[in-house]
Amino acid sequence: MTQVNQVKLGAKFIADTPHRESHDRCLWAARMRRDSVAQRIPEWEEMRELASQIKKHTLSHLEEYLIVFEERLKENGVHVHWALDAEEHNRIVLDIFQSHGVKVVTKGKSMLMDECGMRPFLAKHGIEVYEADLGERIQQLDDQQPSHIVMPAIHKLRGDVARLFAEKLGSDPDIDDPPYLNSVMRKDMRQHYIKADAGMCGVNFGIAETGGIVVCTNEGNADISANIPPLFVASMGIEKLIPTQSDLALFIRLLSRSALGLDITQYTSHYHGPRKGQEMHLIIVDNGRTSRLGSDYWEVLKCIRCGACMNTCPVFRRTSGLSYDAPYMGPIGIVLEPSYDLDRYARLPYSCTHCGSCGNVCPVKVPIPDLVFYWRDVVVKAGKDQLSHRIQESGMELVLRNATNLSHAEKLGLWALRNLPESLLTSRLNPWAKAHANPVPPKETFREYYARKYKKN
Amino acid sequence: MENKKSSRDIIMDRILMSQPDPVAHPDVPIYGIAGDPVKNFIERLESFDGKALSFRSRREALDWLEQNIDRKAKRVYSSLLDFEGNVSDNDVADPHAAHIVDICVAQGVMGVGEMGSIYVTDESLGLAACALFSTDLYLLLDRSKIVDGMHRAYELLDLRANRYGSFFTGPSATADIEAIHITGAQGEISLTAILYN
Amino acid sequence: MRVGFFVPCYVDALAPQAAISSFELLKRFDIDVEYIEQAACCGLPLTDMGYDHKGCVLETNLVKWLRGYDYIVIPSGICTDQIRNHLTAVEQTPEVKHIRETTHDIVDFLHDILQVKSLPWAKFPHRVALHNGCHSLRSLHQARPTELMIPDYSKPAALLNLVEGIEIGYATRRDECCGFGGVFSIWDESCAAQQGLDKVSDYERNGFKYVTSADFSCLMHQQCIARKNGVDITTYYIAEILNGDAR
Repeated sequence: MTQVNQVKLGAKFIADTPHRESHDRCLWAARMRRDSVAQRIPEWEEMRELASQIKKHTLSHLEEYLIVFEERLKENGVHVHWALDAEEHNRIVLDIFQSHGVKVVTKGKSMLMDECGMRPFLAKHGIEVYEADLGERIQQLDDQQPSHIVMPAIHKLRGDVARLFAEKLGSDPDIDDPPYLNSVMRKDMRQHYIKADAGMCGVNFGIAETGGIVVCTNEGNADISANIPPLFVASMGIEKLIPTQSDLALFIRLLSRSALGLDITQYTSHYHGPRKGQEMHLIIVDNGRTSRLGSDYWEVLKCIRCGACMNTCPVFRRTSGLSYDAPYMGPIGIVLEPSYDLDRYARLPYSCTHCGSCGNVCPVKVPIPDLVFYWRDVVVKAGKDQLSHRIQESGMELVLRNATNLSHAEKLGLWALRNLPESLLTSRLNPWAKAHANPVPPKETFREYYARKYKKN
Repeated sequence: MENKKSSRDIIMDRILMSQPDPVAHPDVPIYGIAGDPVKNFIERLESFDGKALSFRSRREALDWLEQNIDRKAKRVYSSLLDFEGNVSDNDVADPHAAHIVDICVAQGVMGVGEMGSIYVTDESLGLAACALFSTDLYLLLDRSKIVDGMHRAYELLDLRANRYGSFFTGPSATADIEAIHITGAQGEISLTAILYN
Repeated sequence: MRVGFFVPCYVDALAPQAAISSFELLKRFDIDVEYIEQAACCGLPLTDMGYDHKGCVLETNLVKWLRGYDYIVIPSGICTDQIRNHLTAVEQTPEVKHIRETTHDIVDFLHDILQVKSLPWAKFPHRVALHNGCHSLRSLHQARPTELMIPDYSKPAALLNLVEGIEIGYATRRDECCGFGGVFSIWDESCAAQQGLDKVSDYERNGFKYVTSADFSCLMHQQCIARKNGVDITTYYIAEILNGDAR
């Protein structure tokens, strides 16, 4: 199994200046908007702490809440399914669709369905799934994964979208004006909505007390998908549960402000059963979540998928989500993906400068910065660290363990800086030198200064 | 022979084995929002590209709708008993057909000053599909039903009473292309709150 | 008050002036400062790379040298964070706990322990960008990070404001990481370089000629990127300004 090399994939994006600059600017603007809306709320930090505690409370009583949730869902007329893993999830969906003769599906955003690889699976069985969120649809047409959990196509420029839509939807390739591109999407989706046999979407929150699900979107695509066809299927991870309706206020107040710096999503919708003449199904999924629940890193399950950590991450903004080659990317991705597949994602926890900003913007206080250290430790102990790291480590351990060894190494290094020709110092052997001038070697170290000034007399 | 354990029971067993030590549910205050809720409501709604019109009475509001909605040129769906549309429930018996609707007039249940949101339900909308597929959506809202913030809203609402209930906050929108904000994504293109006493 | 002065490896070799200014600055106050000659490295690179558990020999040695003081002062935010928050491979004896709790970087020590209210010897009549390194900012809590909605405060700015003639300013993205990130700048030089270039370009756009920080590691990174890209900035470790050595 090859490891995803985020550094290498990210370097390509960095080298593409127009895309990198636009990506960085868009996401930083979201971070700035987040700051300014949060600033208006005196209880912001208190709310983060309360939301974190509610999530911890729910996760530590998950069994009882799931029992209540299931009971209430059934009372509300919802068909409830349970899936151990991605495979079972996809099979359940397929069974529902086949028994209803479903051919065309419109679908709102769902990270979980992406995680399960559901769309390609359904395609193999002749079911057409149309992503109804603009960003997701762009990515579907381009046969790419979403690059951000809230803004799936944010790594693209308008020209990319214009070319894609021209090729796939027959629009004018010379018009790259975003409102025009949006209208192309609107027109195209309408013909799928009015033919849809079923609608699907993900779930932001499940409310145990009421047996309902909450879906937050801006475009209206999830609401259309849920309200028009005779069949509505939603999927949620077990961790999406909260105890009561009144708990919801905190999360709704935090979610969109953290994500995009907007007070609320245009549609904050609550579903408590099928409409007349409709059938509603909810699939509750484990897919590794219970093993996370029993681990030292269980607090990742608090995540409400707002994407704030991505918007603030200096590495993510410059390398884009696709470089993580995983359903979850950015800070939350690098502490989540290794728990799905340590072999494949062993390098992700190293794509972090330890700046700590993600931990501060997280609306539910997932301790991402601590978890980065945690996962590096796990990677090393599992023997999945890179050879170059091992070599660096053994060298450092030897040099740094005491002052004598260190001062020898220092002398050697400073001698090199002072005496070797620049060409040798900036050779390939020194990765630092690709982008940095070498440090100017000082005349004397502190140790030498101290000896000269304070030890002579 | 014993039946194979269901996935549900396996998940529940796994959860019981792995649940972290109990953490207490915190007391959550009902945070109030400073300022006049109606003023906040209008200001926030406008920040989401929604419009708000103010009338002294429901009668006045309906008169305005009568004068400004052109039933001859547009297909109008109304969920109100005191305002008639020209699209009947029969026309949209299959919600797929709701795409014919140009204008939807419906009742809002509650407003939230903090967000500029209007809570609507399947009942207040008549048929949600008509609101979502419309180009222009008008939502009537009794001014006295505007609360200060989300905490108060969720205290007062009974979510379980409706199969569909949603806070609509301005018309549908997207920022998926270069984060440029565009109004009128997949749902309605304009949303107007009609406030009355 | 017996104060141990610990000069971490990279400061000794590449930024001795940071240590000299800090040491001389401490000597101005009525405290007993001792340079801990044997101590070499805080162990950060090992923790950074996930080899924390292998750092035990290093940490055991370190504890041996750092014990017996009322306070340890380090002229580096990133290394102070390491001792305070990541000295965890060794057994957490009362002695180790004492070391972790009483280790401060120069800013914290001057601001919180000595509660310095004037620096009559210091003069720096220039406009200078204050860069709060991520470790100083978010792990040592020396100032309010822009993400947190808490009352504004800044210990480094409070100290710098005691310097005659100084005008403190910030980059537009005032506390975005500059990309040094310890070993990160070696593993992922392209991202580290881009972050660094964005940072120094931000200074340049805002007309800054001088940059100061409580973390020399960030300054070294920024300075080397600036030189490579022809951006004219001069960097000073904060103690160089506070001690009146920077002009």
